[in-house]
Amino acid sequence: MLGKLIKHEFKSTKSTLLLFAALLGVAAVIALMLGVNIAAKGGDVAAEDSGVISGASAMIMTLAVLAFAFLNAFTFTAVFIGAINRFRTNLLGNEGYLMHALPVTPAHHIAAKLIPAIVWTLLGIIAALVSYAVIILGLIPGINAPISELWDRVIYLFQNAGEELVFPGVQIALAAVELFISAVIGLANIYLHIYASMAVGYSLKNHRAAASIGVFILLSIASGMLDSVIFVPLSDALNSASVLLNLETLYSAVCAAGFYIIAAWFLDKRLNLQ
Amino acid sequence: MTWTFLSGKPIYAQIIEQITHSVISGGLPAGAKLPSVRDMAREAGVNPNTMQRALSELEREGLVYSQRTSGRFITESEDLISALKEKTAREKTGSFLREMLLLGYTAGQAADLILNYGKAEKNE
Amino acid sequence: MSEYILDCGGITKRFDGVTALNNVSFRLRRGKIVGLLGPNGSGKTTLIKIINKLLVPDEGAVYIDGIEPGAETKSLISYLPDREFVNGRMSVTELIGLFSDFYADFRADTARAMVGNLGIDLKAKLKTLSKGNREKVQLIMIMSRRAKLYLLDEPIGGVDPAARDYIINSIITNYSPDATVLISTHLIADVEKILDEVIFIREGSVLLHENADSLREREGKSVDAVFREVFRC
Repeated sequence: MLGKLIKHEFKSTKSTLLLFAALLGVAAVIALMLGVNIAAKGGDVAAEDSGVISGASAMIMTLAVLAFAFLNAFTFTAVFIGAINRFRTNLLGNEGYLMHALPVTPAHHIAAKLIPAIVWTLLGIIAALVSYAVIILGLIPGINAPISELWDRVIYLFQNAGEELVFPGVQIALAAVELFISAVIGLANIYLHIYASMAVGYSLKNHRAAASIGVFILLSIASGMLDSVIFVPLSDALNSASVLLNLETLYSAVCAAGFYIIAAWFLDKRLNLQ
Repeated sequence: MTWTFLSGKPIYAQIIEQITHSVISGGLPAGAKLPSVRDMAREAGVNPNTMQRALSELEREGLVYSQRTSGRFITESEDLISALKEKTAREKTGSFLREMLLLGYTAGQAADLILNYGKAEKNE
Repeated sequence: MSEYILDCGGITKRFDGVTALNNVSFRLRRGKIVGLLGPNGSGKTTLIKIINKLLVPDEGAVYIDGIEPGAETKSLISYLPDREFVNGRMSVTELIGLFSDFYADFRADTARAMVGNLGIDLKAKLKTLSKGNREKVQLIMIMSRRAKLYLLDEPIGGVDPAARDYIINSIITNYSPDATVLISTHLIADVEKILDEVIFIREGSVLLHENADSLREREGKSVDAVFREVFRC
């Protein structure tokens, strides 16, 4: 049933998300052009062309950078707001009469909203990161080098991140996996925090949106207290960098689980469709 | 057949009346096959259980019989149908006479009215 | 299999200090078409939502075929709410796909045929249909299931007489001795002929639960007439 819900979820949201993908695509193209342009100047953005052309090309560059940044910011905000709004209209609005009549538990409904939201957001982040990387790589002097050297450049970047790398390949892979997991958990945390706030807020008769915001704040305070009471002392006691990272992720996961339970309970026992 | 339901009387009783009426007035001939309970219920706009109840009652009275595989039929007994006709005619006469009595007519005067009714209509 | 397809015992529900349902108890057997009759605000919708677990009672228990409301009972129940519940951007075909995916007892061919008979394009997005047609599509989805309990919340309110006949016709056609239909409405005269049993509800309390013909016989009136007397303002 969960699989069917997720499939249905992707189907229902695909047209909106294709639009966002198109926007990110445009942003990526701009980034590519910027990157190539910068690389062509040998990494020196401020290099002078002659006279009038220089002024025009500088202006175009600036506009391109602005457009790129704007498209990225806009798309992210839109995906984020879209995911939250989807939860609200599909499970807490009139469509809720259809959804909650399906032979599916509230826990599954939440998962079916969360997983696509994380997938789309992650894809967006990766797309944006790649776009930024393309631009940044252009800034490294002598980028007009063949691809093999390019890869060396990437390693160079990682090596300069301040870590002592004994086995570069493995450690980079591990770092990537850790990063991915904390990204997923972090996103789950954010979305579930909001889902739980809405599930609680919309159990009321009036002022539901305002109540949701209030609950959001309350939950933030609660999880903050959890952090300072349990996790900060714990991380002080165990003073190792990679353990720190895992502790943060663990804290994030615990909060996410808590939000999930709250959201599921309220949708199960306190649903109040108008 | 067209169905008309009045308020106040149980629907199943009205169904019985209307089917009976249809039979004795020739609308539903002897031996005629009846549609399924569901179809009849749909035509009449009534609950299938109610239609079923009425048909069961009619079966008990002998006006309708069912053959397991073929469905339900109006009785082939002309005698039964004639008997019903007579019974209905007598009832109608009885209520007519009661009405006339209330108007102050005797049975004889009422009979004259009936015999002369056709002529009076022609003269108007 | 329980003797009763629906068993409500002592259902009480309060909202902000107002008691919407007060100790509501009744039991329904299979194969019945039952009218839940009461004026607006008498608790009909609240009760139906509780049966389908869109609300949880403060007291009392509901059993659908002996099972408490949950994901399992939702597969036994086919529920028509008193409002539009579809996403306008879906097409009829997509809606049929959704119902087919989640309800094993959904008859897609029947649904397609019925929608086709209304002259509605299966590929059309629901928001492009007239309100009346949208409501009919919703009804068709609900009636195309082979459920054990149908909950129809005000199916004929705000609907033209021809559509009313269509709806009543669908209910009769759909009848099965395994299934029970619970119709909540305040428009008694239009539906009373198809009801086996009637439940009168006022301000959250059940006033009576009786066989429709018995009520007619006892009172010498139509159910509508009895209703008007009982609920006289």
